[in-house]
Amino acid sequence: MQTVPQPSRYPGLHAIVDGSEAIAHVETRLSEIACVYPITPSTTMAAIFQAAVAEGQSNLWGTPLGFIEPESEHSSASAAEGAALAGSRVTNFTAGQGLVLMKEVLYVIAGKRLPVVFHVGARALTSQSLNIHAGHDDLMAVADTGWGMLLARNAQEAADLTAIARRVAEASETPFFVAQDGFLTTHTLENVRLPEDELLREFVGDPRLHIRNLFDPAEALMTGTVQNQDSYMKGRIGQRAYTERIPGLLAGAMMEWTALTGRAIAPVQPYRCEDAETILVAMGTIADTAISVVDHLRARGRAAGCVAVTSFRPFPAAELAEILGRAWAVAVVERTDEPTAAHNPLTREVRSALYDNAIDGHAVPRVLSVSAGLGSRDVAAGDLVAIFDEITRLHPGPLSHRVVGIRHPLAIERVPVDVRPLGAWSLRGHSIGGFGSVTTNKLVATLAGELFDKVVQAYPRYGSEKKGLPTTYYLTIADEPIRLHAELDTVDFVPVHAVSAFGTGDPLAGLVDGGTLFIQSPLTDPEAIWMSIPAATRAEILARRIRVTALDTAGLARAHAPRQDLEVRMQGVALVGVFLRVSPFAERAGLARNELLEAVRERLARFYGKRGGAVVEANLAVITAAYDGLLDVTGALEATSVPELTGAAR
Amino acid sequence: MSTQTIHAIVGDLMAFEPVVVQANATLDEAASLLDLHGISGLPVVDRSGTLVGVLSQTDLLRARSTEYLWTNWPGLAVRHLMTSPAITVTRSTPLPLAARTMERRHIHRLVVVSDDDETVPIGILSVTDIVHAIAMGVGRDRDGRAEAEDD
Repeated sequence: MQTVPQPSRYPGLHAIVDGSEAIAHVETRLSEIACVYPITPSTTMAAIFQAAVAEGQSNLWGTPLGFIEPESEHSSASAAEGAALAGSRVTNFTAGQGLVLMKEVLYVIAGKRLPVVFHVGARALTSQSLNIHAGHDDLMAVADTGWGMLLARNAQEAADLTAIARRVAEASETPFFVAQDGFLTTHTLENVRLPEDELLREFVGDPRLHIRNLFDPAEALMTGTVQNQDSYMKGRIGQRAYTERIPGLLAGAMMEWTALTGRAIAPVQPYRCEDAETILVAMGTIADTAISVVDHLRARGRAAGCVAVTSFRPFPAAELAEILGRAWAVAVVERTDEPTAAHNPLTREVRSALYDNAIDGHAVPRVLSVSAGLGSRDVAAGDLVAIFDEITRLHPGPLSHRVVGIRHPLAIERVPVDVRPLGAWSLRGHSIGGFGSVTTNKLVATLAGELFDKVVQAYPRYGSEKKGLPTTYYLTIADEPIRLHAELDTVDFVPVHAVSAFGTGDPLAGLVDGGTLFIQSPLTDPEAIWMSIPAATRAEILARRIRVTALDTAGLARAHAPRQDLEVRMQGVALVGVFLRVSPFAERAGLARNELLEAVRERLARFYGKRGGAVVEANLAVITAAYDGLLDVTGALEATSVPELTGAAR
Repeated sequence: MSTQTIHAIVGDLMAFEPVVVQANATLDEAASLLDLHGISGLPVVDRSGTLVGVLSQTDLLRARSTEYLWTNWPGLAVRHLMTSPAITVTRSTPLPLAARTMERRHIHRLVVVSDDDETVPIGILSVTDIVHAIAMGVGRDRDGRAEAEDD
C-alpha cells in the first residue's frame, strides 16, 4: 500500500459498517433517484436508500431523494434509463439473475451514453441450482455491454469507488457498475472511513452542472431510433471516441481521490510485485485475502506478489502486462467458470495482455487459471498458498485448469495456515436462524471496535435456510487491517445458543486449546450444566483445557425486556456482557468493571439514544447482569473437586 | 537452458542435510564451521531448528571490514549479521526458477525447505551446484555438445 506523505484533507469519518451501508451512505448524498427492483444480496443497499427517502432526506444539493420500484429488473433499468435521459443522477442496486435480466437495457443505456451508476452485490447465477451467494458470473455476463465495471475488495473500496465511478461516468458519459462480493462484502461489517459531505461536493459536484437533460423540449432530439446499413455501424464505431477517453479520466480521478483522502486506489493495484517470481491476480475479496497471503509467503523468503484488478472495464491491459511481464508464473483466480471458452474471462484478458509482450520477443510468464469461491464456496488463505505452491512448480508446457475448495481431479489441496494479523482474536458463534445472532454480532463488533479502538470484521455465514436452522457467525478483532475474507479455521471463543448445538455441528472445531466456550443454558448449577454436555464433548473439553462458561441469557432477557417482542434482541444484548467478560480487551485497555460499564453506557446512548434513556438503561442492565452473573463452569467444578476435572487434564 | 535443465528440479542437484548454525552462535563459531566444511554459507536456525535466516562468507567479510562491527566482533552473534528471511525453494522447484531467483536477487545459494514444512531446512542449492551440473553434462544435448545457458 502506498502511503501519502502529507496529511490528507479528507481522512474520512470513522464508522463500522457493511459494504451495503458504505455505498448507501455515498449514494444517498450524491443521487437524486433510485430505480430499483432489489434482489439478494443487494437488497440492503436499496432498503437503506428507501429508508432515507421515507425520512424525506435530500441529497447534498437539496434535491429530495426519490425511489421507484417497478415490476422487474428489466423495468428498473428502463426506468433508470428514462430518468437519466431527463438529466437525473440515478442509481440502481442489483445482483445475479436480476442483472442478467437487465442486459438488453444495459446496451441501450451505454449506447445513449447515459452516465448512470448501478451497484452490484456480485452473485453466482442459477446453473445446476439456485445460489444466492458471491460469484462473478453476473458481472462477467454483462461485462461487454459497454459499461465501466469497478470491483471493490472490501467495504472501504466500495464506498470510495462509488464516488469515483460517479465522477468518471459523468466526465466520460459512460455508465458504470460498482461491484462488491455478495454477502462477503455487502453483509460484512468492517472499519470504514466514510467520505465526508464536503469531499463528495467537491469531488463529484452538482448533478445540474454535469448531466445533460436530453428531454429538454427547447433542444428537441430523437433517441432510440432504427438505423440501417447506412448508419448503424458508423454510430457503433463512433462510440469509440467516448470509450477511448475513459482510462485517462479513471486514472486521473483515482489519483485525485488518493491525494484527497490518503486512501490509495488505482485501476490495477499491485502488491509487492516489483521482484515477484509468482503473482496472483484476482478481483474482489480474493484479491484482499491475497495481500495477507503474500505477506505470509514473503516472511518465509518467497518472492510472491498479488494484483487486484479494480477496473475490469475498461481493462488496463498495458499496465497489467508491465506488472506481470517479469514474473516466472501467474495464477488468475476467478469466481466463475466458463469451461466452453478458451479460458475464464479474466484469464483471457491477462493472456491477451501478455501476448503483446511476447510478440516483442520478451519472455512471458506461464499463466494458470483457477476457479475459486463459486457461490461463496470458502476461499481460505491456505487455498491461495496452495495456488502459489502450484505455480512455483510449473514447468513449460500447456497447463490444465485448476480449482480450489472442493474435492475434484482438478483440485489443488488447501495448505493449513493462519494469516490473521498478529494478536488477532476471533469468535465463531453457533445459533439458530431468526434468533437475532446477526444483530448481536453487529452490536458486539461495533462496541468492541469503538470501545477498544480496534479493527473488526464481522461476517455472518448466511444460508438460504432462513429461520429455524443452525447458523454460524464470525467476528475477528485486531490491531491491524483484516484482509482475510474467509471462514475462520482458528477461533478463541465459541458461544453456542444451547447444548443442542453439539448435536447439530462441531462447535469445538478450530477452537484453540485453552480457548473459551459459552453455553446459553437455563440451568444454574455448574455441575448440572457440565453433565448436560455430551460425554464425548466433555472429554475433549478436558483434554484441550477449554474453559466452559454458561448463563441463562434467555432468563435474563425475560426479566429485563420491557416488551415480549424484545426478548430475542435482549438475549443478544446479554451476549455483549458475556463477550466483555471473556475477551481480553477490557483488561488490555486497563478498564476495570465500573469504567468499562460506564463506557458501554456512552456507546449505548449513541445506539439507542433516539429511543430514550429507559431503553439505554434496560440494555445496560442486561449487559451488567450478564457480565456479573457469568458462570465459570469448569472453574467452579475444579474448586469443588469433581473427579473428572482434577485429573491429568488440569 | 537445454531441454534437460529446463525440466530438472532443485532436488536433482541440491546438497542434502546442510550444515546449519544456531542464531545465537558467535561469529567465530560460524567462521569455523565454514572453514571446517569448506562451504561459503550457512542456513541459520533457532533453538527449535526453525529456519530464521542465512549467513554467508560475504556477510562475515563485510563485518570485518566495517570498523564499528569489527570493534564489537566478540559481542556479535550470527543473528546480528544474518540475512532474514532466507530466500527459499523446495525440492520440486524447477531449476530454471531457482537459477532466476539467484540471478535476480544477487545471491549465491538458496535454502531448500521441505514441501510439507517450510520452516525446516533440508538442503542447499548453490551456484556451484549448477555450474558443476553443466560441466558434468546435465545440460548436454543428444549430440554431446555443451549448451550455454541462455536464460
